[in-house]
Amino acid sequence: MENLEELLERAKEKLAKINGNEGLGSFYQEYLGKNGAITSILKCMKELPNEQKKSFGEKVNKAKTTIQTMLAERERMIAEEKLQKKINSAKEIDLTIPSKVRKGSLHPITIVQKEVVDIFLSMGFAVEDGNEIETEYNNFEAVNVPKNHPARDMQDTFYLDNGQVLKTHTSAAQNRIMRKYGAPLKVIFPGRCFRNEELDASHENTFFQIEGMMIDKNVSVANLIYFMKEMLTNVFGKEINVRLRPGFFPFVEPGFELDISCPYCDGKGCRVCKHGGWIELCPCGMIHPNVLRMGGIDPEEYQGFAFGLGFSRLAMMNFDITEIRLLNSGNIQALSQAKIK
Amino acid sequence: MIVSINWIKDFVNLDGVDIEKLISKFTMSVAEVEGIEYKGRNLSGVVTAKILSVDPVENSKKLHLLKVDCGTEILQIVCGAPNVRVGMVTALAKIGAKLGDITISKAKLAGIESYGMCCGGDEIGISDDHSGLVELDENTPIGVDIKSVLDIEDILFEVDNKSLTNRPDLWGIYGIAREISALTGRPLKTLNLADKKDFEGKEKVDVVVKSSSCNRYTSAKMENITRKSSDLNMQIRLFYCGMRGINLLADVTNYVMLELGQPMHAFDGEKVKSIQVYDLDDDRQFVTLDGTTRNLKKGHMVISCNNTPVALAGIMGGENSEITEDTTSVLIESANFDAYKVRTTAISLGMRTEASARYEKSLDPELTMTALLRLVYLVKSQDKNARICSSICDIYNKHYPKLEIELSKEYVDRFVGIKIDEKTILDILTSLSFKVLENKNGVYKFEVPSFRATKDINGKADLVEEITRIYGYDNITPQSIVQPVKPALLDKAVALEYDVKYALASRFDLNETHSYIWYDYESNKTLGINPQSVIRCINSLNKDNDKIRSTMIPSLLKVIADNKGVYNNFGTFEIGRVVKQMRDDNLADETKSLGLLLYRKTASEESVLFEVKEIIDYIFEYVLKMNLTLELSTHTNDYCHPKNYYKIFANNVEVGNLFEITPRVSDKIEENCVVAGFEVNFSKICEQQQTKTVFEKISKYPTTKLDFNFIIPQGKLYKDIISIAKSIDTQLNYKVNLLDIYENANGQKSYTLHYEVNSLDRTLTTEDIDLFHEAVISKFEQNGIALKL
Repeated sequence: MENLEELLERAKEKLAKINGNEGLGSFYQEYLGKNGAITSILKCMKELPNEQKKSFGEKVNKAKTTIQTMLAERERMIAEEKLQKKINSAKEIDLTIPSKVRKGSLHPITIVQKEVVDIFLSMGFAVEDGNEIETEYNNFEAVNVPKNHPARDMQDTFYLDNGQVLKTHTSAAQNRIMRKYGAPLKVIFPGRCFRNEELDASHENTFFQIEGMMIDKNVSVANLIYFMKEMLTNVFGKEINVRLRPGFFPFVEPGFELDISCPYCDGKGCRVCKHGGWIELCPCGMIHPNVLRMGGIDPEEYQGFAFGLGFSRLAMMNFDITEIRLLNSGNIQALSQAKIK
Repeated sequence: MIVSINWIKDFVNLDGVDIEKLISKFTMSVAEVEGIEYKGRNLSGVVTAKILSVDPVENSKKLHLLKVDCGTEILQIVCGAPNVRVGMVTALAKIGAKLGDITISKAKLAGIESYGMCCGGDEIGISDDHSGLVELDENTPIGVDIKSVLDIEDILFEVDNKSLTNRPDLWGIYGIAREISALTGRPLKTLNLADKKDFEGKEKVDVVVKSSSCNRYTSAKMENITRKSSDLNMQIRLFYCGMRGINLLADVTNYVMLELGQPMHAFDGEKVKSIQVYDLDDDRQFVTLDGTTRNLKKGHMVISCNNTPVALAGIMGGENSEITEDTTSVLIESANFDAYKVRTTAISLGMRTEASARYEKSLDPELTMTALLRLVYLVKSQDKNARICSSICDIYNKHYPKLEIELSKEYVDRFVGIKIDEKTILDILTSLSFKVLENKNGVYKFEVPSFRATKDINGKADLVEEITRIYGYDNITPQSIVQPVKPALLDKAVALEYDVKYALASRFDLNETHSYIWYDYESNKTLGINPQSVIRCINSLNKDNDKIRSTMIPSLLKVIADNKGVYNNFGTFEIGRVVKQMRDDNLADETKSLGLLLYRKTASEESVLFEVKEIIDYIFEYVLKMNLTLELSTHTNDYCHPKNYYKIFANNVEVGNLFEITPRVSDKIEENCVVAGFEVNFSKICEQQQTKTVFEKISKYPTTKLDFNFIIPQGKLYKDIISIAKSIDTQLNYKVNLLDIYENANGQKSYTLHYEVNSLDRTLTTEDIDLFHEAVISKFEQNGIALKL
């Protein structure tokens, strides 16, 4: 029988030489396995006198525990060395190199429209869609612009050969929407509009507006100011002051021009607001009783406000676009700067 | 329209009023002011002076040497004006005087020293006349500041005409003064008018009105008019307000028009002694007083004398009856014509005058009498010798009905959203000349003044506007609303539209662009395509770009062609409107259409078509959640490739097509490039049901994987193979997909199909798997498809 001390010494030396999992396996077999050294020493125990058995057993178990601990320690060290080696061998990578170049983009109008639509949705407004080709009735008569009215001078209209028109304002959808929803209602409807005018840096014959209407028994001028202020504060992401001025539009009474405090200089005066501190942004007003009546709503019972916001203008302000013509140019290099949000 | 504060001051006392604040209040309460101009502020050192002597200057034909008395001394002045004469009182800019940017200093002209400059009207800013010196009345004191003699100092503000479209009453200074009186709370002075008594007992002007478009015709005659030009201060006002002094009668008619908004006309009394107003019953030529020959049409309304037209009613007088230097008697017209008639006539003749611009706003017919009396008063005050020589002829055929409107305080409060007290309501409306007829416990009845009743004011809402604008919109506190809370409805088309666009841009790196609703003629011509159009625009800006599109693809091809120089590989899309057909009622059947094109400078047709396929698969599966099928088809258009043209079905409803652009077109963009894409009817897609996702049970027992190689007969499409592969006769759960496609040198294709088989309630046995294996093979054999050995 081998001396236990020697056995331990031998195991220690052997373990130190082991570098892989396989070696650890055979080491286990050799010392701790069924036919291993510890087992065979224990087998000798029955030959010892009874009074020595107890202390011998204790010694062997202690040696066994020592070997187990050594083995576990060696196992841990090998795993650690392996990981360390893996970590050390990792390549140093330059992550300042750009990843795949993304060039997808939404149109600036789409981005601004989404923003405004979301704000109104959050305030409980329904969102509707409208046509681009409208009847003269919907575009003019139904919004209180009868034939021969000088207001038809104010907007040059594209007429089609079947007598329809390319809608000159989103208001052309008012009648259909009032008939669809009835009162009360809270709706916005974005759309593309057309005016027969020559192109220049600030005039387009094809442009976007968003129109909103709110009708109920008590909807007031004070409510109009409130909703416009809330919406614009959200659009511009900062506190916006609004003011109303008289403005004449046949479909509203009273009609207003809504000015906003210049979001670029906070009303102090800058190039954008022509040093006045205010920017004229959108016509609005209380829906004309005739318009309500034509939409099947009783103006004695219901009242409401409407507004039309120039989207192309808003998109230009948002992205600091100086030429309105860019929007319909199809110039991807320029337009793609809008990205997707 | 330009407003002179001096003129306003004739009617409202503005002492102590901050004019700039007043003007900004005007913008906030009445109409938009586009600009303010300060007149005479940059003029100083100009005094009245008398010319004592006029002597020729040696070696100069034009120049004269003057001795001028400027009150404190006699100055030597060299002057080039032709109208110099001894005794003339004029304006002298002394040394150090400032005329705008110019400072007068001692100067040498033709070798002679000049100690100042005698001024013409343009030099002191009161006219554009440069023909001679300003001629002041001989009784003018000498040596006083010119500004104390002439109303050179003034503040002008220009009101945006568009914002006055609906306010005929604001097309005259007096109307503006009325607003300013309401804004400042100061009384409006009455106009000085001729006394009606002065006309009594005289012979009436012979006027016959036959046209139904002449609402009122008021007329009188004056004679013995000796003065030729109007007062300089009147001329200055006319000039400041955009007109110019011509002669006494022309100036006074213009002055009354600017002041009251009522166009006036003065006929030479020797040439026009009677008046007939009628609509022409034939076409004829007529020379207006600007010397232009006009081709009048049947139906145009004219003023005639003895059947010879002398004026185009409401627009312009005729050359044949114009006031001249020799005119001493005058027939005055103060009339009210129908707005629509004047407007259509003016448009048809391509004329727009100060008069027609006012008439087309629907003027108050009550105004004609006031304007006539005002004009006579002004002529008499300018020319003491002028005499009234007729009684007033006033033919008043069409009155506007008196307008009375009931309004309650409760309505005002509800409409505005704040409480405005009764006194404020009544005070404001009274200050704007509305008459309170009744007031019963907060329910009022108002009479609308005639000058607001022609079209502007119709009902309660109009009165609320009057109250609130003067009250001040700034005084209305914004207020939220109390309403039942309901979820907002987002139109499905609007929601899907954004989601699709977002996916295309973010996932597939595509660029959204916008194009016009009409075809671009030049682009289509360059590409050699002639796409269908069923409706056209009759007044397009460019006469060639008049066809409304029936497909998005030509617009997108233009974007591709315009950008291919910048990018070798890119794609663009747009959701726009197209008209493919007319409806039975002849209205355009407009639909929303999603068009998409990919451009690859060098790529195989197959790879590009598969890129398109990947996009549409993704859109249908993940965004639209609809079942997509493609069906090989044919077409008749001239931009798609004849091969590989597929119809697109959403839930078995045809919604569009997927295609490659024919090289006949794409080679014109870039030789050997590949352009492919699809177009779908987005309106129709939005009508389709979206698939509801239902979770399937996932087996907890092991899954067995089996691969099969089948030889695919020529002409069989994948969709046929996969439908066989999915119809195996078995009780087991299985999924199948295409793992690989192999094509040998002879063009024979084989597919590797990958099956995953399991059961929801047990582990599969070898026998189960063998049976499944056999079932797959026999299903394919039944369809004449063999395993590849």
